[in-house]
Amino acid sequence: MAAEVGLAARAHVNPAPELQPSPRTPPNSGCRLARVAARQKLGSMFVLRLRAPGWPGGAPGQFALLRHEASARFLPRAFSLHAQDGELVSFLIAPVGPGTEELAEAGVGEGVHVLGPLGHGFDLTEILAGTPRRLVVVGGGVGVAPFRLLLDRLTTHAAATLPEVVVLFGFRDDVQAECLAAFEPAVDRLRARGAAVELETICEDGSLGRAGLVTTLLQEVGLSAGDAILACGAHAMCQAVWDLGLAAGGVRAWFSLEAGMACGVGSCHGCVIRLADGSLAKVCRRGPVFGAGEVFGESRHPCAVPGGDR
Amino acid sequence: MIDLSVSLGPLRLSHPLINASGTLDLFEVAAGLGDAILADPPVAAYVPKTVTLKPRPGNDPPRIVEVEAGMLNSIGLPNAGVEAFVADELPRLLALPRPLILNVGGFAPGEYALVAARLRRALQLHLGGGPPDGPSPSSDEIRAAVGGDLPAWTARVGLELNVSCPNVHSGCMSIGADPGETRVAVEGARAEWPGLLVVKLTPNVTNVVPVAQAAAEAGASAISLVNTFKGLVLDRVTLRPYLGGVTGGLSGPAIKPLALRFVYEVAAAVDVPLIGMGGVTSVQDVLEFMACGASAVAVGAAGFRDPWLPARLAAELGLALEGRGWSLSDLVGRAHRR
Ligand SMILES: Cc1cc2nc3c(=O)[nH]c(=O)nc-3n(C[C@H](O)[C@H](O)[C@H](O)COP(=O)(O)OP(=O)(O)OC[C@H]3O[C@@H](n4cnc5c(N)ncnc54)[C@H](O)[C@@H]3O)c2cc1C
Ligand SMILES: Cc1cc2nc3c(=O)[nH]c(=O)nc-3n(C[C@H](O)[C@H](O)[C@H](O)COP(=O)(O)O)c2cc1C
Ligand code: FES
Repeated sequence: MAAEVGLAARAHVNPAPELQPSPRTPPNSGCRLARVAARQKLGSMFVLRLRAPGWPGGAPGQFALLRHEASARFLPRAFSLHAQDGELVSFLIAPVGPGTEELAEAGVGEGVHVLGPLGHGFDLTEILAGTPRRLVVVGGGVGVAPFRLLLDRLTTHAAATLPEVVVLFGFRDDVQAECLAAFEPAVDRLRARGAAVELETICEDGSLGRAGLVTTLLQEVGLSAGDAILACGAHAMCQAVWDLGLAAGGVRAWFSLEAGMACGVGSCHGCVIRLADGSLAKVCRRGPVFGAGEVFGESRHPCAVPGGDR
Repeated sequence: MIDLSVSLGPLRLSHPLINASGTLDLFEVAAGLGDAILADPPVAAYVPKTVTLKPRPGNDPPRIVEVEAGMLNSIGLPNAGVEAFVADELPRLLALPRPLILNVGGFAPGEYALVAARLRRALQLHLGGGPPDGPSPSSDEIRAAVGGDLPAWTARVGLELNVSCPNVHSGCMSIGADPGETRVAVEGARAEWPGLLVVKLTPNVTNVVPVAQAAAEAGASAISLVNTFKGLVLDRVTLRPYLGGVTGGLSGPAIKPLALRFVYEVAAAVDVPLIGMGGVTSVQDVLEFMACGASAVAVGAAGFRDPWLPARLAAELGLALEGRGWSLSDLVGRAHRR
């Protein structure tokens, strides 16, 4: 056929090798094949502990992209770092769809691709440098995940330099609240260091006593000038938390936000949210932890953030 | 070890694996995961994201959504515009140890020439080969250059014309859907660009062959295909369009058989090298695109899972060819031979 001549000519194969690097499996790939070390069910969530060779360690609020090696899904999924110990890194996961359900079924020894740690987390140095009156940690649902690592990090600070820590968690029901088991030892360790720590929990359906939202707890605790809020949860929760912060005045706050992600590293421009000033920011690179003012503004006019929730 | 090197016009690639525009930002990866990726990029040539004449914010979120065997995106070509690109991006791009294929988008056929001219002047300034603000080369000069007498910098930097983005409301894909407009866009860019000129085609056409032929006749030195397929995803709950840009472009394994068909048909119809892409995730996919006639293969959305994937596929391609006892020329175009 006539096209054949053209096709052969089109191979454009060089006669001599080039003075360029030869293809090989890159040694410095940031994408690791980890092995499931343990999976522990905690109510409606589970903790997935992975052994990730060479895991460099990350900060609270940073995240990783996970994808089971036999995943039927195309894209990896983003999860906050929950705990780490050397090359062991854990995630607290709520199964909500096909990607999270695959991980909920991962057996010990199975492979999970891990890309991370990614993004900018809670900058404890910056936050503590402001000598806050109290650290008010607010988590809603699976948004509590990053705060285990945060409590662990606080434990390594000298107790004398730590402000009072108030941890407020809101859950849908008592089944979701079973994930508290993953936090209580960390709270105990922090207390054992001499820090003042308060942990309060509330469920929307009243299954742990009275019914209410985490903002109910926040109102009871009473924010005041000098408090620093660290929050993670649904976008509406973050908005409501910041409204309370603004009402109190003199409160600083940081929010870990979510957006649908593809690459997690800033390549795809897919995860943008609109900031208070109207500009767009990549949640995976500039965030996922943002200063309250950047996202919601410093005045009490809620600014819609399309795509910022899931 | 088997020789995997290929030539695309004056660009020499150590192997056929590159990235698809808009799917790998080496500098962003380096900022998050370390500089190693800049010292040894996982691609034989690096293709940055589309740059346009004017800055663009891109589309409203949400911009991406996963579907069966792929994803839709409605990114909308956010970029800082060619002036900022020349000032902020080009210097660090030129410091990479790889050839570059700069990708240009436009909203009218004439815009491609304007951006190509701006980039050429900047490259002449950075890399030599003529006065930076000198006049455009004459068509005779360009012809002579394309005939072999090329300025040295053309061995480092090629140009890809994105006439195929489905996520902007005017121009771009509508240009690439029309052989006449494609011809005007390519002729204009060719008059300003002496080096490798790749034209990236859209699959959102009834027949891609006339567009490919128009591109080749107008001076394209290579053709890349495919860009994404225009699609729609509804919000599961509200049953309204999910993406901020309403429609989006489908990519990933879902489009591979479609993309292979496009490469196969264009390979049989035009005589310039092809860069194949669309759903590449494995070395098998690389073999298939090359068998359909691609001289190089681009990894797109699968690189989101692992930015280093192209390098791994290149290594696996070498092993696959060794295993079969083939050279690259045994592979390229094989699907067309009896
Ligand atoms: C930085 C970051 C940190 C995170 N940390 C954690 C964590 O620690 N633990 C945890 O459990 N989760 C965490 N998440 C959330 C987690 O990534 C998602 O729950 C997960 O991706 C869901 O995947 P899936 O396949 O199970 O569900 P999917 O089916 O992918 O659904 C996920 C979401 O996609 C959206 N969506 C997709 N398609 C449609 C459609 N057609 N219509 C409407 N909506 C659609 C919805 O908003 C849906 O809620 C985090 C997310 C981010 C960005
Ligand atoms: C998130 C995303 C952004 C893209 N941005 C661009 C772009 O800026 N310019 C361009 O020419 N193609 C762009 N593309 C198209 C890809 O380069 C490629 O043609 C397409 O995705 C098919 O390959 P794949 O199936 O391997 O992803 C983009 C694709 C995706 C998924
Ligand atoms: S997820 Fe790709 S840029 Fe953020």
